[in-house]
Amino acid sequence: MMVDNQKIRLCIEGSRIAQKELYEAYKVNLYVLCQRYFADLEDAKDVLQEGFIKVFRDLHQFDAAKGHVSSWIKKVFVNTCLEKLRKKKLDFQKIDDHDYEVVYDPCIISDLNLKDLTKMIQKLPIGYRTVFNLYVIEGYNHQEIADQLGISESTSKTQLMKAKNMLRLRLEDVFK
Amino acid sequence: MEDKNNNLEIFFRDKFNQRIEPQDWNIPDNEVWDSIASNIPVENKKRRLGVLPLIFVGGLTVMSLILGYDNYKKGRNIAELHQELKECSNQTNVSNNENNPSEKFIGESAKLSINYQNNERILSNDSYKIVDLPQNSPENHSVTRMARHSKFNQPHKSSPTTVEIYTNSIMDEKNPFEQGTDLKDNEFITISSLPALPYTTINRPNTLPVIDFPIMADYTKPIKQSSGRILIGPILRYINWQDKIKGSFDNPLSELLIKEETSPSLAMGLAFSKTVGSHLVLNTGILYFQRNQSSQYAINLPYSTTNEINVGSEFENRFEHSLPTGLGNINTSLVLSRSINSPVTNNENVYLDFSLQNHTKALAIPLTMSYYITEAGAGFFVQGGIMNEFIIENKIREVNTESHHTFVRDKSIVVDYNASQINKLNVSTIVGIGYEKEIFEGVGISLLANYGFAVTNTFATPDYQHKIDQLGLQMMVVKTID
Repeated sequence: MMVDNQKIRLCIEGSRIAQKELYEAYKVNLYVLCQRYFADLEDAKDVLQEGFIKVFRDLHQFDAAKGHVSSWIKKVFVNTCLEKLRKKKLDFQKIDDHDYEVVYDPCIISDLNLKDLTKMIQKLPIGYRTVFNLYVIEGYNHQEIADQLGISESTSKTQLMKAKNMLRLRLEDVFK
Repeated sequence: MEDKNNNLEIFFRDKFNQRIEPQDWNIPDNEVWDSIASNIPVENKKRRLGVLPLIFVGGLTVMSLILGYDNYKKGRNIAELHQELKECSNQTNVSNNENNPSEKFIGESAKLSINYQNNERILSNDSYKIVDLPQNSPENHSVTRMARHSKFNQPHKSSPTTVEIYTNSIMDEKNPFEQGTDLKDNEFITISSLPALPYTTINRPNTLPVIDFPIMADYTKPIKQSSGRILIGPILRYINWQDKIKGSFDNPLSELLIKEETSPSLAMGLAFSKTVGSHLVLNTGILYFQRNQSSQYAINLPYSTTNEINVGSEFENRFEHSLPTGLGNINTSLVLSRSINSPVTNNENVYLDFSLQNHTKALAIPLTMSYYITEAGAGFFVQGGIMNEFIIENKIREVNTESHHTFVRDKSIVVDYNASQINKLNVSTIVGIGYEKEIFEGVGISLLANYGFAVTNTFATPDYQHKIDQLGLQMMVVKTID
């Protein structure tokens, strides 16, 4: 379902029908996004709800000249996820170090579906998971991640490296 | 090791940029939506109405002010007229008329004056002959008898509460009562609502059968626009564009043009008018405006693995298309790329939501004729004519794409605008209704609502036509140049 400028305008004006259409258009992608950050499905549902409330509340701030609405909505949801994580007192410094060296073969894992990969990400420690999501999936750089999470760039890099090592380990386990 | 790291990142990024199938996920039910809906504001219908009602309200307010001011001015004049008449009656000198025993001649050559806004003002320099008739005198009916002028040959009721003014064009300076002249040629005008001057007839020699108190004429006589008078003034016009599309564009992507709409414009300029008759005014001018035209497409491109180009660690498919817009063809170069490891089958479809916006600057030269119902330059009028629109610049803005496909990692779209295909001149026929009112001496305001039917296409091929009608609301201030 395509969300055009007319629909966005209707959403801003408070049209329930248009708002429901926008919700239906993006709920699946955004629910998956929420699950990447929160292993607990109830948490993911809460963020989905909070995120959409923020989207409809702040949609008038969306500037079509700066990109597509889907990118803007995604950014709102990532920020909502980070807010919730902050409330959960995410502490990157206390995350245990892991030192995995796993051989990664892309041909093997290409058969994995999105749900399997999401489950793997969910099993990462919360700090690893957050940095991995922001850097790999959302495309943030380490400076942006550091600013968002209140950590140093080097911490962000370390967390990412450890997240990837852990994922390799998990992938290895899957195909052993 | 670095490659492996990158491969892992690319793999995850690709996977999560795929189209997600809802059936694989336990999607939240309506409970979540209900909860969202209860936390967001309800529909604000006022905002949905847009700017149009504001303009209507603004126009109505201006009109109300103009009409209110006009009524106030007229009301003041009437009140002053009453006052003047009262003062007239108080200032008359009564004297006996010796020549006519049945009537008492009250005064001759009386010069009436009133005090108007602190200025002593001469009401009339004409000679007045005021006679006092006995209440029960049969001559009291002579007023009726006198009213036998061809224009007033119907009987007039005469009573102490009626003032009758008659003019005599034959007698000049002579007193009709002194001369014993038959009064049948005298002209009478009756003002029954004015204050009574009991037993008194004001005999006023004059030539015109009108209520020509000089002071009254100053305020109530409409200022006419004589033929040939030129008016000039600023013009402000709100235009709501209506896109009209017919047929299909002769292009493989024609069916994918989902929507095209043009945002409203605010035009500003200068208007010139010339009265060419008692009811007709010729209008022209020049208007400048900008408008944005948004075109939305859903593009479905087959990704060919046989024709793809290897660019380092990626493969690319390149597409060239010509997309229809309201202003002409927009040539696009789309590049879809995928990473080496991305799974793809030959000719797998790639879905893209694509939108772009044309930003146009234009000059318009209207040529219209207005027919005023009462007289040229005042009151309601109807208008018809043509609007010539010259496009002076067009630029593409806001190109947005969104991919919904599994393997597309990156995409780049180059848009090339083919200006030569734009129709530089567009003509519309315009019909409308309006109202004009003089607010100060020589300065008027005109409000107009009109609709323009596009005669020429903004863009057309043998099978495809795009016209843009216009709904306009216009306000103009005009200054008369003698």
